[in-house]
Amino acid sequence: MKKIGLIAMTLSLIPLLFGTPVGAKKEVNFFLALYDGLRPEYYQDLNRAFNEANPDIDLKVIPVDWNALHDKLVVAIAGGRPPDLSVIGTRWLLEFLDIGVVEPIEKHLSKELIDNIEPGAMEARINNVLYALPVAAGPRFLYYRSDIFKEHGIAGPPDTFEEMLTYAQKINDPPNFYGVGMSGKKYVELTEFAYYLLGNDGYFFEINPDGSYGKCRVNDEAGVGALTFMNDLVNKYKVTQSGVTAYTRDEVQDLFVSGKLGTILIGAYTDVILKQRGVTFKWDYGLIPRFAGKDRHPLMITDSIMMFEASKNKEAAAKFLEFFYQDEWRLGFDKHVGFPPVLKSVGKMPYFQAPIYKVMVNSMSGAKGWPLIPQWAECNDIIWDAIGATFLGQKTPKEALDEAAARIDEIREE
Amino acid sequence: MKQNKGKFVVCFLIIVILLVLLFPFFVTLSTAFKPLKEVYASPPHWIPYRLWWRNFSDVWTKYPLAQYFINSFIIASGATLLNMVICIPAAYAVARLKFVGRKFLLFSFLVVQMFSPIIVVISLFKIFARLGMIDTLSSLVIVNTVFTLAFSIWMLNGYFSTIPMEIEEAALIDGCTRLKTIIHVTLPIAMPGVVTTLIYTFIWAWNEFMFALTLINTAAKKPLTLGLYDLVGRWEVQWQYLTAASLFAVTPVIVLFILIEKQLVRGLAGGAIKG
Amino acid sequence: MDKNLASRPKVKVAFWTTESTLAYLLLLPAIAVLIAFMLYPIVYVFLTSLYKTNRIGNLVEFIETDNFKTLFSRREFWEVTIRSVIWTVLAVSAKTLVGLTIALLLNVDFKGRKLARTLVILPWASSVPISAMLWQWTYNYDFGLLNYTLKITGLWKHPPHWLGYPLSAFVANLYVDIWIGIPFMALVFLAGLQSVPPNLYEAAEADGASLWQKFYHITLPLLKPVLLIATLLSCLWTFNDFNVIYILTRGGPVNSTDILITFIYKYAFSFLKFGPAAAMAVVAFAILLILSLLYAWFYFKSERY
Repeated sequence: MKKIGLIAMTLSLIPLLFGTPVGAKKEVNFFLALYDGLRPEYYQDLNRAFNEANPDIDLKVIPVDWNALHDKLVVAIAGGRPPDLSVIGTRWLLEFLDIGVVEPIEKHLSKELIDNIEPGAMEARINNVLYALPVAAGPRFLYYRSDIFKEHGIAGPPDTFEEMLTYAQKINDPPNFYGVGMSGKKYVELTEFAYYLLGNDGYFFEINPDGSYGKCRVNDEAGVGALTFMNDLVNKYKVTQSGVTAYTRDEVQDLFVSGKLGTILIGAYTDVILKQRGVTFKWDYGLIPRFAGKDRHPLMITDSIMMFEASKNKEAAAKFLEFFYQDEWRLGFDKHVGFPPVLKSVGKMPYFQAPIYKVMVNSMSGAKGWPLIPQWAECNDIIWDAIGATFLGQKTPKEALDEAAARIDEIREE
Repeated sequence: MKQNKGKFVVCFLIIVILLVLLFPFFVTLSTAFKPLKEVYASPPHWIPYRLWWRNFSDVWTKYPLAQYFINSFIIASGATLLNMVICIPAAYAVARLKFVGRKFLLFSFLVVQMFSPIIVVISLFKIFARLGMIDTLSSLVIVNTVFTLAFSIWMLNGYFSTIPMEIEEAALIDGCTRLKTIIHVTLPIAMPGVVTTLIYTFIWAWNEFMFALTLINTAAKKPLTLGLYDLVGRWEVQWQYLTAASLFAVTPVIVLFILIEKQLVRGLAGGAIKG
Repeated sequence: MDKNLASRPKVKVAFWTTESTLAYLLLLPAIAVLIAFMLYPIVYVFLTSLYKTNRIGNLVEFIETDNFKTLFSRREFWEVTIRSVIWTVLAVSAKTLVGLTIALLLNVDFKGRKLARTLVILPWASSVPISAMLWQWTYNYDFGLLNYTLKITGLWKHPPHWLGYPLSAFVANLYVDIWIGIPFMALVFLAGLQSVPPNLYEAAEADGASLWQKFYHITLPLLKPVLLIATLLSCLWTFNDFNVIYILTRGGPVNSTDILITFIYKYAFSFLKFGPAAAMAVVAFAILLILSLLYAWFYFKSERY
């Protein structure tokens, strides 16, 4: 009888012996977000090429699905084992700075590399220090059905949101075809509202003279105006698809790709999907509209590579970044993911002279990003609920945004 | 006559229930056999214009599904084995032996089930980090064992206690040691109960996601649940691939179930009824 | 201790001095594994709930019950807690009823029974996140086959955008959760039915008992232990599963489908507020503990007949 207990215990202990042995090489772990379009061969080749060139370093590229990346990072950080490098949404940077796990990356990189980066992509530069290296810049722009527009005698993309509405009313033909797409289902990012808010000269927070963020201002005239306009598109003019609160960004994109939408405000990847699926209709690009008489401020979303303070091999990690940011590797990356290049030298290559890249470059001027505050995830969530409540008719835009702004200020004081 | 009518009603009801229950499975089948263009046809249609087998070969060649399968298999069978080794003696003790704190122990196994994996995942990560077991399949073997212990012990406890004492006592009096009695007498009778907990543990470990996500790093060590998530992108979900791959993923579970069905039904039967 | 156990005749076991030593030894691996891997996480949850934490969950300052006080003062928290209870009660009763019906049907001997039993297990065979993804696709308004089928069969001419409105989204989430949980229930009950001695039914039939009387007076009492343990475990799992809701609606629209566990997830993993998240986990634990104690009381009572 004793035996069975002993056997049981021994067996249960066996897995404990499989711990990872510690090698003599300098280990560098890199969480690479799996961008749509990025093939496994690409990062496997990158991993192999670097390790061959640097026999003293053991680089491990760890591919992580985008939707799971934040969870995985939170557990790894809170569990005390962050990777050496990780792709992050730049909007997470402040959260991580607040925790105190960020190693400012600038001092580890060569001047040539820093100088070669598009200034517009350096969202992670705070008080003149570049904390994280831009890896992808996602400008947002407008796609429209040039064939349908032509049929209705409309010359080009709308310049203002008011024009967009007029055009949408002309081409709207529900339930087969909708003038403009709108996503109203809570999603990781608040993109849709941001287009209208920024285009109305609004922003999420007051900016203090020293560059820091003040009170929440989504409920000012610009914010309420933006949301009122969105709500009118949905509930008054009914030029959007029905049931907007059921649609995430992807699902609105599916509508456009399947030929049911006249206009959509979205990022660069949609173009890749349109080409992949071999759609038969014609489309063209324009800049994100603005409200009449206001300045144009498109939204710009960037991702960055962050180095962790806890990394034991910062030098080796930096060496890898220099390797990765050679034109050859970056060209492959940008081509796969369909973003405009973050390196100036790559931007000059013939591949990036196509019309879509022109629009992307144009849409970067005047662009604004997400507010860099540690509590952004929660603020994002609160504003989403305000938008949802408005679309569902539970609250007026003013009521919803007043409540949201009050709650956000409360959270930031905590 | 009356009996035939009754059977007809039963069959009819079963068919209706299965149609409702398997609805998403039919959707999966339909989507997996459509080319991309048809997937996004609106209005949609059930029957693909032509069976598009390409999705299946594509997921198989574009993604290392075979590797994912092997990893999942190692994790699930490892957890099942470890679970059995730990739970059979424990359940035997709870069911057969007299000791202080029996009910308390039985109840405290349940307590573990009151904490969702997401509540304890960070602490568990810390433990495995300290043990140097991050990025090992054995960490998942252990975690899956821990989370299936409660059901296994309760189920086996119920099962062992249905076996009449007299059978064991007879063997003991015949001069068998207790160990021999357990191995040669008790376990064979309880085999169906063992099989029940076995399939439960296997399915649990085969489908576990949260711990796999946080504890596994290397792509080559990913289990299938994580691997399938590769097909869910940031900007689009590749439905035709996801559905095809998920059909692959359920196959082993279904095969295991078919092999074991008879035992499972008998096993569950004895398990919870106390004699 | 049980009368049952106490009255058992003593069997002489030469090797072991006492029965309880053997029992503890046999239980040792299970207890050791649980202590090694679950004690720290559970204690840490309780500790965290009493502390102010920084954003990686390190305990910064002991603040007694402040986390709970803040929590209890928020209307949302109560809404979410009540919704969790409603969610669990509805889901578990539906799973139990449907599971029991399927088990009773599959217990009848008919051609194709083995195939039917295998098919019933399918919803259980996929991992929950993947199942939820597939349901999201099924519910899709434009390309999904659910609304299309409802329309062409004339069952529902204008089906809603399922995930777009508070009530329909709650129903849609609930339906998926029930769907996932049915196979386990059906199998456990089916198994329980196997051990009802057929001669009991024959005797009842001879007395002219109706179908319902047979079920109520014979089947149900004998199924009681299975029912108790299966529904209890189902309650624990249903209360604690966040995957379905998180993938289908993220708790939206406007928090209308948030339950306690999705709230905990949001607080811990999105907002990095580990203190309040732990406090909520303790509340969830308390609710489940009370429920389990009630169940255990019933269970051990029935064990003693």
